[in-house]
Amino acid sequence: MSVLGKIMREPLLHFLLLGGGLFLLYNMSNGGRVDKPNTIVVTPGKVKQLSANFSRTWERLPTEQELNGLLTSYLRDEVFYREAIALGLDKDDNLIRRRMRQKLEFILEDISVLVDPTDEALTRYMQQHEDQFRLQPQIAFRQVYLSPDKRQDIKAAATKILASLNTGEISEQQSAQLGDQIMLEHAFKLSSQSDIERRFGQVFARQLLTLPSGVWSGPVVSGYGGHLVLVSERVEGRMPTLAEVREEVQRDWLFEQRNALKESTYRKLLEEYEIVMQEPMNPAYVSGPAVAATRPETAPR
Amino acid sequence: MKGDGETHPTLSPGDEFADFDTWDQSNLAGVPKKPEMIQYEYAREALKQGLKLEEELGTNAFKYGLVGGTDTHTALSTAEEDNYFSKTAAQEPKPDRWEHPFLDTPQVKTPGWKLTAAGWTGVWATKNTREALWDAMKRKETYSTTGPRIMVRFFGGFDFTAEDANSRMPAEAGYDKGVPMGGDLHNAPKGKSPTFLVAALKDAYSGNLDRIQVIKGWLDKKGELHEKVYDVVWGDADKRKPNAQGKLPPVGNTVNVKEATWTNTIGAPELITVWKDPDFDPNLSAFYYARVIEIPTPRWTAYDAKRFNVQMSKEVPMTTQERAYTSPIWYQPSKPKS
Repeated sequence: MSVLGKIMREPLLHFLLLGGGLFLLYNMSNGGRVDKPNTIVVTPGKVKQLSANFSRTWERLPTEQELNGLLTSYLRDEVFYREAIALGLDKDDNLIRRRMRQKLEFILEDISVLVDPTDEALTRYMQQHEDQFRLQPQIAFRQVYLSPDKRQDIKAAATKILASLNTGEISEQQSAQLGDQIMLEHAFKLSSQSDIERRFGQVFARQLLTLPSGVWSGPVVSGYGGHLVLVSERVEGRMPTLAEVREEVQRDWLFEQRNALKESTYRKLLEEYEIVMQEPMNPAYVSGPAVAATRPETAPR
Repeated sequence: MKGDGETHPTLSPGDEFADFDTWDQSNLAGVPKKPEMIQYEYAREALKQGLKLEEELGTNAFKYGLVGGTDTHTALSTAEEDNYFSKTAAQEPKPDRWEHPFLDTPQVKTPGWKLTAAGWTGVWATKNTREALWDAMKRKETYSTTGPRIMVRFFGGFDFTAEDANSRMPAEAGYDKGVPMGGDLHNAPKGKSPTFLVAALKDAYSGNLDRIQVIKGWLDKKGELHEKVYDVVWGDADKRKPNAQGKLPPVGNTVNVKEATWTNTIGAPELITVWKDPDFDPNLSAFYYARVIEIPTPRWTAYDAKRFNVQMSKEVPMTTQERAYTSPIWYQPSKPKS
């Protein structure tokens, strides 16, 4: 019992026990189990709960007959549950073991939510995961389409139309009349690089990013053909401030914390156990419990 | 993964595109398929049967929209031919996956090459929200593709004119003068036939478009079901004309199988037209849907052969013609009572 004794000094365990105690109290007040082991007390609260579960599914109250059915089923559950436990049927059952582990992990997950991250911690997390949070460049542009299907020589057509486009201020209405018809907007509002890639393809989006603003140029080649383009507005890619993406950063940070807490709790608990290998372990087989505990922590994604 | 579910060559013998990587050897348990089972397994046939059921029962039990999916069990949305992760972990990228059996039972052997790269569903929603997507699917404003992100518009009405196809935004006239895919037409005005505004824009990363077809199914006065495929608009139309039997010649093939490449020098990036049903009878119920066919492009097997430098047997297809299918627009002589 020394393992348990040591564990008893863990502050985390105190917390768990406290929580567990609350559950127990709740159960006793609601579940109606009393000291006499062979008594099943059906409290009004239990009946209400059964009836409420039913209404959640069927969106109406159960009839007298249905409620009787629910009660019968509840009693059957309770009797079999108690008898099965008494027979030790919960031992060596993979499903039950998995469920118990899961319940403990759920409690750990709940605890991890209680920690409120500081701005510094979140900022640090954001900077460590720059790729994930960096805002893409955005570009607003107009495009005049040149169809390879309708034109023999796109380059020549491009030169000709470009000359007229760059002679002076050409309005959106005017430029929309030029080139060939296609089911793509003429003017695109500020769009992110990946949005542009999705519509026009990667090659087009990358080339568009290199173009100067305020002048018609091209042809820029897309999956559809050639385009003369005018970059009308450009917003460079940048790292956001924490305030802009706080919710997202916090969610990811929390996810990492949660996994770390699960892992560290497991390791602490494991330390309290002595693992006895009755047969020498094959070195190729490296996923035993002791080894798992010394595995380097991997950043969850 | 298992071909398309549109129609089967034995159900649509007149349809030259009816055989898209068809899987008709067995069910997944390896029980061999019998010919009489085929009629219960394809979408077009059910759409036809729906017209007949409607006459008998007063309601069309098969009035559904068309959707596509990946059908993968890998948690990967990899629909592209050049990014083929197959159906399950057993067929992940490796040199011999083309011949490794997917199904291996005493009666049926299905080699890996018979699996098809996955497909998508296109949804015309007013917003990119859960509610709007749901509403769009509920009204069947959806289409299906065999992998490429082809954009397809399909509207039916009685007043579309050729002018409506001269637009960047065909949907403006489409919604204004007709109903979108998944919709209903009834009570044709005297002397008028249904017109359809249909348009498709290629996937920026995939092949040009070969043609758009409209598929019509109808129930005649004797209670018999029919179907017909119309080529309504096609690429290279200046030199590509239907022959005396009305058959459009194939678009050609630019695929270099060895290199797994192709060129978009045939077909068209965009196709759009207004089509009027030339065989319309206002007293018969019918449905119409559009099918968009791409030019031939390398199939996943061609990319595998190049990447892993393997020689596959002669029977393995190396090219494919990807496609998109819209939900139907139904025509009924009179408006249903409901």
